[in-house]
Amino acid sequence: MTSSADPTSETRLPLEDYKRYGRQMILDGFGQLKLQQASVVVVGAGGLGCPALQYLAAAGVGTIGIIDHDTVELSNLQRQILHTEARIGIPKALSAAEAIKQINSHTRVQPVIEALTPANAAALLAPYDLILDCTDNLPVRYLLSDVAIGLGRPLVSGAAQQLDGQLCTYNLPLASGSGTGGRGPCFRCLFPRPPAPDMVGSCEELGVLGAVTGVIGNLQALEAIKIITGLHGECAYSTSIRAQLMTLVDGRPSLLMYSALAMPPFRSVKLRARRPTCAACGDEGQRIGGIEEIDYVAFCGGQRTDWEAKGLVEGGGSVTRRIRAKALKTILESEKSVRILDVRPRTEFGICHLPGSINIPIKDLVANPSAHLPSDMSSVGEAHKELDTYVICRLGNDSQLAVDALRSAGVKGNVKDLVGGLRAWAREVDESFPVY
Amino acid sequence: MSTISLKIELGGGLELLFSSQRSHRVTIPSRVPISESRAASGSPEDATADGETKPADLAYLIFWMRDNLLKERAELFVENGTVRPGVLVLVNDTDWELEGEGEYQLQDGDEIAHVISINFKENPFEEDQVYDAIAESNVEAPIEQTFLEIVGPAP
Repeated sequence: MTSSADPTSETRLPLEDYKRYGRQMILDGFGQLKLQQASVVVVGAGGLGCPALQYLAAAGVGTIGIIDHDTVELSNLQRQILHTEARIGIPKALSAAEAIKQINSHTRVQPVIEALTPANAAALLAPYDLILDCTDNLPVRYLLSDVAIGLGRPLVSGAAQQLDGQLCTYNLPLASGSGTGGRGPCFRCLFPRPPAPDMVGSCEELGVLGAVTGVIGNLQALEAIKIITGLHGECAYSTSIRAQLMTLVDGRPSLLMYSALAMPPFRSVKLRARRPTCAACGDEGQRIGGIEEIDYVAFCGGQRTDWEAKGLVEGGGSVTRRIRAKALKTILESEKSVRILDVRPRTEFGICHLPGSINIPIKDLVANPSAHLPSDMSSVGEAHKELDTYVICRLGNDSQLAVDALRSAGVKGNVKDLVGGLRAWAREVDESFPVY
Repeated sequence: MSTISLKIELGGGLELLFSSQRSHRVTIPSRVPISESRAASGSPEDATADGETKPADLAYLIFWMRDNLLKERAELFVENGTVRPGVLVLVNDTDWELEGEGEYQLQDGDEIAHVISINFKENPFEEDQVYDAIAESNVEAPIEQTFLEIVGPAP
């Protein structure tokens, strides 16, 4: 599958490639032929994968695998720059494959529309010289790290959230004799176990800027090109890329941290050596624990919750605590005066809100619920104690917490929250209400 | 009582536990009690009481930060006597493991960073996180009680 396995293949470039790649070929120490012979697999064709794929293909990497089981959605286009409006609904792996073929028709592109699992990972990744982790999913990060160790491949890992990003190459080949067993640390050396799941976010909840995923994705492509062409430091003309990947001389394990608002925005951190006791890459006889039978999802704290679905669950015991969107609409259209409490963050309230609603972010509300009881909300005082209160949020989860907080603080009147939040409102009552 | 001055940087969301402030300049005693429980109190008088002291190290600093800088939810910072999994500790931009971890002796002017890796990005008030904790403990406890345990009582 990879031309690097066949050293008798092309030993010189097609004539037109001298023109196409001349601007990079004249860089000192740059090996265009190595790029052409190399095979790279990008796991995740999203915010990180798209820019990485774009630059790998443009630079002339010969074979590129793309693994992604997801399909393109409108909300992806803000950062996943290979996908287009016309390709919404089709698998991301195919969309990205089509995009990079338009950039470089000579690239052998191998899209795989499958989720990476412990059962298929080794077989799917084995044909490639180098692996890029462009996922946003913790169990897959551990899986990729473990499989990269098993296959002896460097793993160029990227991550981005909000305005921050990180770049790290795991299992980086080092000069033998550096006392590190010839390899940099793996993801498990750094993080032997994940924190309890309440520390783990995903970009849908936290937000991320496309230019930030672009910075990190570009850096992943650059790191891959450095390693393949030998700019990372190695003997310049080895015949096999995989042999070369075992003999880099001056790589040093480091973690690059990027923070768009910090000054300076980039910070490089010197990382620990490979841990001889690491469950994945440790030395025979010193290794503690194993990774053979591991359930990656359970190891990382279980399945991610579908918060939209959860916000729609009306609740078994006390059905009267919640109200559906249509019923709320009827109340709002009646002459009755009510209080609508929107507990989303201020920024989200600023994006869109129901007319007449009051914004008290959940964080402020739970810090001091008694300050937000109806009688404190208005100078009219006593009369307002009778007002019914309806609490709303984006999906209908925070609003339940808010109702609990208000009740525990001793709220008297009728307090309910909107099932499914404003997303349900937009779907069931007002199609012109923004969904974000 | 001699002291050392340090710059403490927090990142990856950890700053939310520390008044949402990313950078802190602190002064701590240069010698501290040997026992960890004493260290946690952070009082130099305790040190002179039994004379058993050691130069201030990173292990001490973690407890000092918990007792003197941390504003909420200590369990998201310290676990089993060290920083929580997922937090990288950096001494002047070097992984603390290369510097002896908790035994690293702090020097005047050191910059110590505590960063949650983006892979484990934290936001203590993200709706799913609070809710997750409730869902887990929902079985035994009524929701109001659980909720207060998680966010703390109203001041």
